[in-house]
Amino acid sequence: MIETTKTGGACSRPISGIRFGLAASAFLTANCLLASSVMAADGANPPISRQSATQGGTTVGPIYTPPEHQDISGVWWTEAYEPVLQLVGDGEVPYNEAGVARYEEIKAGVASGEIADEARRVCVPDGLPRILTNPYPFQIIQTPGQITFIYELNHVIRPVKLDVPQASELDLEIFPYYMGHSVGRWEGDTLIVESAGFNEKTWFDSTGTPSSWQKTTVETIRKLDDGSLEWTIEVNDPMYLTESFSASYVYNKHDDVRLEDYNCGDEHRDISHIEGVNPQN
Amino acid sequence: MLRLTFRSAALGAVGASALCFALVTDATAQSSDSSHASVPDFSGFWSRARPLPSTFLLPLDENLPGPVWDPQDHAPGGVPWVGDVSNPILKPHAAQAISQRNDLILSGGEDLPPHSLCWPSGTPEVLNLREPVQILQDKDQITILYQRDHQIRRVFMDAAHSKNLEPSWYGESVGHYEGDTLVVTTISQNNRTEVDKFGTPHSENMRVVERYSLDPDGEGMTVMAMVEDPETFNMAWYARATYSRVPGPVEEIICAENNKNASTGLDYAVPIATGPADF
Repeated sequence: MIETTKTGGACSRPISGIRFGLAASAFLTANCLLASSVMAADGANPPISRQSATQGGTTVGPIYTPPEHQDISGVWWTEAYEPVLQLVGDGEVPYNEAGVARYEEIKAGVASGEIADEARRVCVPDGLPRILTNPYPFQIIQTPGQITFIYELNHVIRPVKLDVPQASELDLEIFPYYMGHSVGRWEGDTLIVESAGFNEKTWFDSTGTPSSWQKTTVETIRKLDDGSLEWTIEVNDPMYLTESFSASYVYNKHDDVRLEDYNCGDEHRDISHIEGVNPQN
Repeated sequence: MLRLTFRSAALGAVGASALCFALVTDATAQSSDSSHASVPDFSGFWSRARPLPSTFLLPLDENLPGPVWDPQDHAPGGVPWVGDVSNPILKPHAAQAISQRNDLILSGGEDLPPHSLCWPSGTPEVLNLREPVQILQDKDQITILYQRDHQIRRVFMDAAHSKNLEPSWYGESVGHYEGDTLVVTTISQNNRTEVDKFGTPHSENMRVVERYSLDPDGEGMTVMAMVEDPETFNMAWYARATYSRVPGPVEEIICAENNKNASTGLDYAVPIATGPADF
């Protein structure tokens, strides 16, 4: 269950364009964090632990070096693409009646040509969990207070703010994202990323599996060793699901790979070696 | 030739900067200071500084070759932007391209540069985007995230340029620090982007050197750019763009889902897959 706070407002969405001093920014940020934590503690939502802050590493000048057990930076790449969502424990997506109806509606629309897979037609973001199985590499960048996932596919940027409360429910509703709004924290060697505030335009997988604005996700990410990364996602969506489901992925590190520009209609890198990629391509 | 010009110029703040540029043209991938403590802090959120116009590259120095500019003093929101084809930097075919664009918009046509159609901007035009920018400053790579259509630039620090590069939207950028300045050199950008709002073209052989520096208080950032492309320009030219720190964040705004003419409501073209996905 995602923990959202009822705080936020000016803290979570400052007016853009205002010249903002570093000291003032730090002061306001600190106060927003403090205020959010205090307010989050007032009620059912416990404050997010700040013990896991990135201060576990070292910051010299602007350059941050995470501790070795929390260093997941670099370029990662799946070895297998799965066009159909593979659940932990097998089985099918546990849709409720509304979910089944919407799924049938999408499949019929795709068959008739009235509905397109927009993530492939015009390269909008895949959303979660679909992007986690894409056959192109992605990069993780760790900087103070933020972990950024950059996916080569569709040049998706996914910033994860660390050790801050989730945006307010109002913000999540007003600004729904393809990739959701994400906050994270470290628990030992595991990064926990909680996301909410999704739009309804993405599918769980390539078959048209629908999701709603009520979708929330929790991802747990940890290194299996220096060369591989385990990434598990739990998906909840009360509007369309009878219960949550989970999926899990493993990526390998590729220090020799640089992410490339990716735009719809362009020629892209060769991914034919990725298991599950259509061999005719 | 240029170096002589710079040395004969009065060494005011801008003149000194120009001199630095002359030195940069001779320098390749100098090693960075190994101490991160001395690295200037560009990390965070930035936006082109006000007041307007923030969508144009500005001349670096009136005594130096500068970017194409609008010769008329247009009121904001008034007369369309018209490029000065008499700028001596322009080779004839480049001036012709600008002239054709001028004719188009002065006759009521609509100019649709690549970034208006959700294609990347390339540099130096990317410096003209008004939406927020986030700089992620890592030891080996500086990543610049542009809110505008989630454009991404990667600067590989202390690296030499690769051999046999295939042209791409943002080409290959390598960087290093020179004291308090971040120097970024970009080559091998494809020729599908334009250099500015006036439709100035460029070839795949364009080389752009950007020098990023902070104001003394750290709240402002100036990017000085040197652009050279012997196929398009008669000489290297110099420009600058100034930024202010902003709170951020970089929002998720997807160009391809809602790319409309604000006046007519009609959809603009966006990049579309030319066939089935390759997976």
